[in-house]
Amino acid sequence: MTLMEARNISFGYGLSPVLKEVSFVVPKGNLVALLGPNGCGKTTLLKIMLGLRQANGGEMLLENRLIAAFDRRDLARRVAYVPQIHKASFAFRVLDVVLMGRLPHKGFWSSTSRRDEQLAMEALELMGIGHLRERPYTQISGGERQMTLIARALCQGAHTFILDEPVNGLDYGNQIRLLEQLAELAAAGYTFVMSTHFPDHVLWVAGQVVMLRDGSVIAQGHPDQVLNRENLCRLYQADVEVWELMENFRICVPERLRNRICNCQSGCKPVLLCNPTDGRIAC
Amino acid sequence: MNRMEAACRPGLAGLGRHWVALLLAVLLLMTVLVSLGLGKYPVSFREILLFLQQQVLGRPTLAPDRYELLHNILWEIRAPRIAAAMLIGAALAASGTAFQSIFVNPLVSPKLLGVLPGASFGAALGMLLAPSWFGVQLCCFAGGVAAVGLAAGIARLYRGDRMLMLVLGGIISGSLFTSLLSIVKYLADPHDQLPAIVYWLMGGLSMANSRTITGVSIPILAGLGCLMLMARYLNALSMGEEEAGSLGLNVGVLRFWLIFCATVISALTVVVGGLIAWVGLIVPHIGRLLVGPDNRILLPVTALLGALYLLVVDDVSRLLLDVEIPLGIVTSLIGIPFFILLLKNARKGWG
Repeated sequence: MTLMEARNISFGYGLSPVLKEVSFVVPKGNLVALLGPNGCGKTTLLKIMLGLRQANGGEMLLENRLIAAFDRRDLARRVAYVPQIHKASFAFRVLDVVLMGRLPHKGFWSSTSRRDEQLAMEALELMGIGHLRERPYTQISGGERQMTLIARALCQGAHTFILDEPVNGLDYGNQIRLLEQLAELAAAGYTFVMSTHFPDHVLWVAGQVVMLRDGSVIAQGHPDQVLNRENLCRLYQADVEVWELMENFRICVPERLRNRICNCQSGCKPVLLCNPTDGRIAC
Repeated sequence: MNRMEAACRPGLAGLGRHWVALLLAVLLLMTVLVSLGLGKYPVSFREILLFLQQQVLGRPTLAPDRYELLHNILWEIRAPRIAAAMLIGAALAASGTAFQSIFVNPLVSPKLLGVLPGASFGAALGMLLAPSWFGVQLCCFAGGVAAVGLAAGIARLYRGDRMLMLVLGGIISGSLFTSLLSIVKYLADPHDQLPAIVYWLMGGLSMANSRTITGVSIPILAGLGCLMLMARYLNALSMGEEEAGSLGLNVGVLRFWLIFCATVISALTVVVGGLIAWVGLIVPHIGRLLVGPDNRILLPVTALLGALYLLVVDDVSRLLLDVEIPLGIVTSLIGIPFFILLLKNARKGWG
């Protein structure tokens, strides 16, 4: 089922276009990755999906309704934003940050209830950081902060999460843990749209990839189909091969690494020798 | 819990955040009673209580001529001044807190955005041209609002980081109004107008009378109330514009009203007491050290702290020497070293 759909989205500041006729669909329960070099318009596209920016042309649909037609709070109850990690200025408690997710459910006069706190705690527990509830948000690690923001999105009651480079600035272990967490939530029915700089991460967790260059989509589809040498080269101007080592198991191999394994220049396909003691790759 | 963890917890270790507010309220009440007794003509604590009993309950407890005298000293002279100190302190501290959250910057203050320079210019111009004290106050208020309006207008000129542009716009607008103020001073009659302007801008409460106080107390209290009602939204805004928007808030409208309320109450303080700097910058930091950054509790706590702080400083300024020291000078002298101490925390993230 299609949850969100971009139809010929265009956007620009003044005369310089940032997005040109971008179209793609976000199926329900899927993890859609936005891949592209710096400045290709990923963040702008995410903000249009959140209703924070208005596209100059085209339509952004959520559940077959224009995003712009949604009431702000109504939209916030469906779509949540997980921004890039940033240094927060004020030391709110982690629990208070998560509780902010209840804002779209509250009228002007109604205050935070026990039920809200309960929901916030459940979200924290689900992300495995319940023990951080009283800690100041400024003093936890980047990975913990990202988990807190995802907990807030859960607490918001949204079914679709928009994540802007969620693994940016995280150490390797936290990147893996975060991606696993996202894959788990996607399996539970949540929908994700995330921008990323890591094609490998797309191969790990994404069910759909949209490749964006200079504001235009150059390829989109299942990562197994579109994440290949030609497209990566067009996207990044770098020679990167994608090897299928086993069924459903692909990795990206930059040229330099490939040359280390095989220097024969004949365009051969290296294969994995399935020897558990000596997992060498031969040509 | 070890010491590290205790230090990490916002708020006084072990003491609930609401108790801090209650404690401050009690402390403030006691300071008011003490301040009533302080002055060139000391009045004993017992007599103050008897007087208040008669004033409030209407039961005669004092001899009529003694009551007349006390009514004159306590009710006509000291009470308006105490009320003024508390109102100004609370308004400056709360508007500083609000500005810091709105601009996601713990170093913003009513002065930085141009409110205080604008209001000062308006007041000085009013002293030159307006026929009545009321006219001066009106000019002062208009000047403050105009300065913020100018700052916001400059911020709209170019695309870019809105908050940064607003702060820079505030600096520009503040400098402009400071120069305009110099022109007014230059044009003012050096025999009576210039000293009046200069003394007033040094900040002080000797002009405070019950009529002015009653006049400004209603909008100040209303402004404070509005800020406190919007505290939850202020929290979300202090996480950044885009996050607040993604939480379903209409950021533009909210920010307009929050800036409006904070501007009005801080411009009104200039109407009563002239230019009193540093309160709006320092007190929010102390408040955050006590109860953390949650505006729902922080705003009432900073308002109480500001009231308490300015009341004590005013007591000092009128008692320390034979002549009164202008309040604005004392707050600066206390504020600057205190701020240097606070800078120690700048690297670690605020409060």
